[in-house]
Amino acid sequence: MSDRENIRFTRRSLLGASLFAGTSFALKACGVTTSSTATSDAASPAGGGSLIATCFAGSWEQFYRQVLVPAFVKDTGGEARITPMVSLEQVAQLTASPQNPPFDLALLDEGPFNAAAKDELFEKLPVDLVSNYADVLPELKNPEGWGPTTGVQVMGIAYNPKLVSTPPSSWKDLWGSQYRGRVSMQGMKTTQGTSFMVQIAKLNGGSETDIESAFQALQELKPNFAGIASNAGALATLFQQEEVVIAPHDLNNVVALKQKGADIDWVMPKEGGIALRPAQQIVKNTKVDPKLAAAFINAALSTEVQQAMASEPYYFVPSNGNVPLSGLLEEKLGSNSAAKVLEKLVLLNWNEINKNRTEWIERFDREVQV
Amino acid sequence: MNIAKLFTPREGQLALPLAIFLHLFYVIPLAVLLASSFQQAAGVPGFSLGQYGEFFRDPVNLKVLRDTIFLGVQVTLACLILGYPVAYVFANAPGKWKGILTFLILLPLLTSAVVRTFGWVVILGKQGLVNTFLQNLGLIGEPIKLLFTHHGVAIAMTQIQLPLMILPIVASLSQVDPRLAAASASLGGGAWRTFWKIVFPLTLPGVISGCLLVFAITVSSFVTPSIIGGGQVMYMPTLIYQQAVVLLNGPFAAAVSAILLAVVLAVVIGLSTLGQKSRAYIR
Repeated sequence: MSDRENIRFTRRSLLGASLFAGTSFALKACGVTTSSTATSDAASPAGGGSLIATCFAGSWEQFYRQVLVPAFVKDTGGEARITPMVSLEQVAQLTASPQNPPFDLALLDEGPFNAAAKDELFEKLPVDLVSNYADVLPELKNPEGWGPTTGVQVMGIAYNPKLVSTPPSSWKDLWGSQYRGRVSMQGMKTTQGTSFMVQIAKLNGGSETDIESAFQALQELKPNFAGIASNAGALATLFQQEEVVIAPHDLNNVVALKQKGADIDWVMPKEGGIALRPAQQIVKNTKVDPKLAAAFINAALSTEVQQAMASEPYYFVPSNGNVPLSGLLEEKLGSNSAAKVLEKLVLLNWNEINKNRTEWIERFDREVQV
Repeated sequence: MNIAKLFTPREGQLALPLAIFLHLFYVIPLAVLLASSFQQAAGVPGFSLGQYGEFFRDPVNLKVLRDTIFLGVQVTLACLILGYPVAYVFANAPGKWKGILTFLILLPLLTSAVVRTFGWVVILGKQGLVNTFLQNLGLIGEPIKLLFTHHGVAIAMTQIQLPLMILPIVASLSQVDPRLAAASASLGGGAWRTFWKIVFPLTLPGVISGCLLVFAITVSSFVTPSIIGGGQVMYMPTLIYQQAVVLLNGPFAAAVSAILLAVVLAVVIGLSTLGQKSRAYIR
């Protein structure tokens, strides 16, 4: 019981403690006001209000914060908060509480979106509220009426120009004996990993439903692996460390790395790059005004925002057909029109892929184990 | 029982807020988790051991379990061997050095595990510190592959968990009465003998709690194994994440979690019985 005597509040210590607590609250409050993008409550089409949108970390998050949210705020006078999260986690969170979703707008890769219980988790796009929808390229609209692709990420071959003397030109170059122990790829649980495997299957006579040939090719690729990267961030580090000199990777990520001074470059393989088509979806059962959510998607598809998205430092292929490609994007993809570029890209059918994807992911992980 | 008695303060009630919190956010979810591991498939009611059967039938899963336990044991032993001397130096250091040493020991805890893990990617790579050093010394011709291997994960985990081993040992070393060592010396005991017969046994409780912390946290850690190990070395937490989030196979993920929990519990119970025994030895 002697412990009890040790706890004695003096006036000074109490004052100190309350000052500390008070300051922490004040600091926290300051943090909130700076991080939320509150603006004037000028009259606006959607009448203000706030929403929470998810997006992927990295280039997407930067694009959301610096381009999309300011444009949305200007259009509507509303405010938007951004939560970075990968597709699978978004679907997992929505599935866990469909009645009380933690965010209002999602950004999802095709695979996880198509595999999710779409009708229970998302609202179809209210096309009449999204005036810019008409400008979206037809290949990028969803035939079932869900949200269209926001911007296309192009997956090609990233390589280290310092250590690779002849730039690769085909996916098959990854199998070259000069790259023993220097190749990487993202695991099949990522959209990139699955896309790569399906594309390899297609090049060897397989299809979206039959990738047996890709698994055979994987065994031949195994001696070339430095390792399987768990995500795009890990792959970036591996390139910087020169642990890996060649790997399938997204153009936007490669450009971001290159601008930071890493020895990395990107080519579109002659079989065509793979188009990854993430799309924004309105979450079902949110308390947010559907007009406001639609206004967010409308802002994302607008010519100005898409123009910014297609240029430095993001380099996504725009979904809006009115936006021309320029600079590095035009140079790497070989055309200034998004429609022409899309013709050269491989668009995979994720409805077919998803039928067997879980099985393939398990098999992939087994077969690459050391 | 007298109603008024319920409202008189007792020590047990001080823990009530935490108890309520833990029940709501830990015990109940855990019960739900365990219950769902006995489902045949997600959403199908009924009791079945199918998920567990599936786990133990598959040699790949068994390898994952074996690797995880092996990793835990390796990291715990490495932390003990590297951490004990540090704790010993700390406990015997003069007062003014203790502040600096505390800071140095705690330093790794001040950066997030993700940052430290990426640091280890830089160190363990083919062009990394370790390989460059060994190559410049002429000990190896070709760089050794450390990244994406079990050893790489074990090395990084050891550094990350080290403070959790050092701190409990420091706590119990500082409780050892210095007069005991003096008494041992006066009776003719050498430094080594004094250490092994007197000091080490007296610090066993600290060693055991350090081992417990390190083992439990190592076998359940996710970030470091998945980044250093890549997709080619799998441990139980990666398997759980994969099943639950990627493959949306809830019941199987729950079963894997339950198995991991059982392993950790077994080690905890084993080590605490040892702890009890060692405490009896001290008295």
